[in-house]
Amino acid sequence: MKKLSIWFFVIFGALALRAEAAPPPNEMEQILRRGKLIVAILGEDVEPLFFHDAQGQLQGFDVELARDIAARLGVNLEFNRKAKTYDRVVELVAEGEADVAISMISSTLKRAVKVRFSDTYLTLHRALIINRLALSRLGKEDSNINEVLNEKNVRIGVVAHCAYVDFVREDFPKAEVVPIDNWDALAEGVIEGKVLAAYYDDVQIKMWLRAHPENALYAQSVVRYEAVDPLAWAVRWESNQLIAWLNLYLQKIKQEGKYDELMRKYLKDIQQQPKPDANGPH
Amino acid sequence: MRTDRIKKILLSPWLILSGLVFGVIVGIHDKGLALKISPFGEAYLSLLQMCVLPILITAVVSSFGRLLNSGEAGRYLLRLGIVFVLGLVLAGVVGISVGIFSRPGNDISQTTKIALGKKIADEELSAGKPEAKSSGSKRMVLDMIPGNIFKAAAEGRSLAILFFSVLLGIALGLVRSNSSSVALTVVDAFNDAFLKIIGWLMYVLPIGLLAIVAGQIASFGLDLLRPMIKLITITYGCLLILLVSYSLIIWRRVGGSYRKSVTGLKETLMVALGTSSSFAAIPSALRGLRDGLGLERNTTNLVVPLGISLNPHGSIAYFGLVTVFMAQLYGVQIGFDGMLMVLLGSILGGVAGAGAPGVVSLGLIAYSLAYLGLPTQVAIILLTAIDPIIDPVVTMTNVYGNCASTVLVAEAPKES
Repeated sequence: MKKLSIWFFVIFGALALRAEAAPPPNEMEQILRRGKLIVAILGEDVEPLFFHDAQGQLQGFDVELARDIAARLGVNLEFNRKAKTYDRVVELVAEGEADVAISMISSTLKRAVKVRFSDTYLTLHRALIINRLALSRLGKEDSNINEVLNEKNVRIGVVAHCAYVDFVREDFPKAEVVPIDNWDALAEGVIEGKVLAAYYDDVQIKMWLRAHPENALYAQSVVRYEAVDPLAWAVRWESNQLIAWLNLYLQKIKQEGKYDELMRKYLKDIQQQPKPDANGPH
Repeated sequence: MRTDRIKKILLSPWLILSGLVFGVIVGIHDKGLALKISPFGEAYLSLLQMCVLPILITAVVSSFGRLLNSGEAGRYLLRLGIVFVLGLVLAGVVGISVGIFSRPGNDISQTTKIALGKKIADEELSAGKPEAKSSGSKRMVLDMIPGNIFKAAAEGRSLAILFFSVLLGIALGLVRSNSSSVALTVVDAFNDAFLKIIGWLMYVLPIGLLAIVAGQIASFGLDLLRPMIKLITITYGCLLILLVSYSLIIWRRVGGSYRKSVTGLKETLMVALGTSSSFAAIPSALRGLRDGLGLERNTTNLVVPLGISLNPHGSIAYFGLVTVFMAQLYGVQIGFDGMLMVLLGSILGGVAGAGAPGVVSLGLIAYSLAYLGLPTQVAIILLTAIDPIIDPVVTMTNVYGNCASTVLVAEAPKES
């Protein structure tokens, strides 16, 4: 009787354990069951990655990628644009409010603690705009800009809660970092001389100059081609299958030519890197 | 007799002027043809410049040697120094004053700012890195002393070559022996021979200018012409004031009719205007001052080559004017001390840049912009864009101003 009860417990326990170990539906299954992919994109428009066109339609490099991903998964697409900052976009994914962030997210080590990043899908460069008069008055127009800005009395502005807060501390550790709410206010701060320089990616700086070319008279732009800003898609840390699928998707669209087509459409004249000059590659 | 007539026709100022005008017409209306003939223009310019360095060296060596031999060196050089310094200061004052009174950089429209900003952004972002600009004054002094005279000659470092030639001339003058006077005679003979070669080239000047100018006009981008038109017009006005002043100085000093005093240097002015190279105009200036205006050989040989590098009035006036333009553009006030520093900076920059190719010399505007803390890079980008239409007139002013200085220095021996 005793033996029998032991056997009963063993068999029952094993069955119970088996029932407990049955994995919950994974991220991919959840998306397929739901029939909808939720993509987090920053609430503010950033041309040419995500912006409203003249007809009021959401367009852009990231937006088209998101649409293509949803189409290839065979599900509908929903954009979550609640985040006001890039850091918040990442948090939305970490908190499970979105399946993936496709929103010009820089893959930094700090963010990788919270989420899981795909392979780099776009490489930008860190860039600066610098107040021309202030730079000339320092008498350092001819000097190496990286050295000029890495000084204690230099104020460098960055958009608050974005990867550039970390980048500026990495690249110009001696400078005073001034976080400012958004890019327009930051650029204005440079023109008015409130900060000597602003640190951001080359695409946004080029787009800003394209929209307001007169500002080039007052602000010098420098692209640091030696300092990259790799962008990646972010998913929850446990989303193994989704991240593997996204990396495979990235490979496929590069092989098929879809990626180049999107680059030509949205980033053709912005992402061109000048040929190395007599001073050698930077 | 018939050959003389043909020579006279080929050297006629009207034919030379026609070459220039046709060059402009071809450059505007038939870019294909203009670009086809421009290699001939480049070849002609190379021929003109081929003998410039030997002429410069032989002229300076021989004139300094003979000056030292004659024992009048001290007085003569003092007069030369006074004429050069006064000329430089006056040219700078004219440039700055024209800028202050005509205000080329005030009330610039938004459309103009957009056009200028676009050009600057395009240049900066396509270059990837700000281009290397001025070298400091320490560098300028170091560049003046050639470590190897043949290397300096090969690199066309005119200040270094002048420095060497002046030293060699002084040394030959102080040797005071038969052999040194023979050496000076030989140097003179070479100088004459080089000038003879240039003399032959002058017969095809109209065609050469046509090809050079057509090529320059055809490859000139017009994108900044409109937004910069105010500065361009004021620059032309400023340089015209200087050109007219020089013609009056030359006329008063040389005497005779005004027309004759101007036509005596017509070939020189046309070469300067057509080639935008004051060095290419040296041989012609030497011939014009001697044959056209009847100046003494020793004076022209001494003053013209030195003046091309040390006495560039047009560049100085232009730098002064552009610095005031930049200050107005950026809303920077220029006080009295600012004006003095801009004047000094314009003179330093003008002298340092003399003889360098147009676009390289523009970087030396950094000297005059420095005191006011104005951005050099913007100035360089804007000036480079309009350089093809400004440089010919600046060069002509440099050359004509130098001729006027020569005429003023040449008075000294006659008066004494």
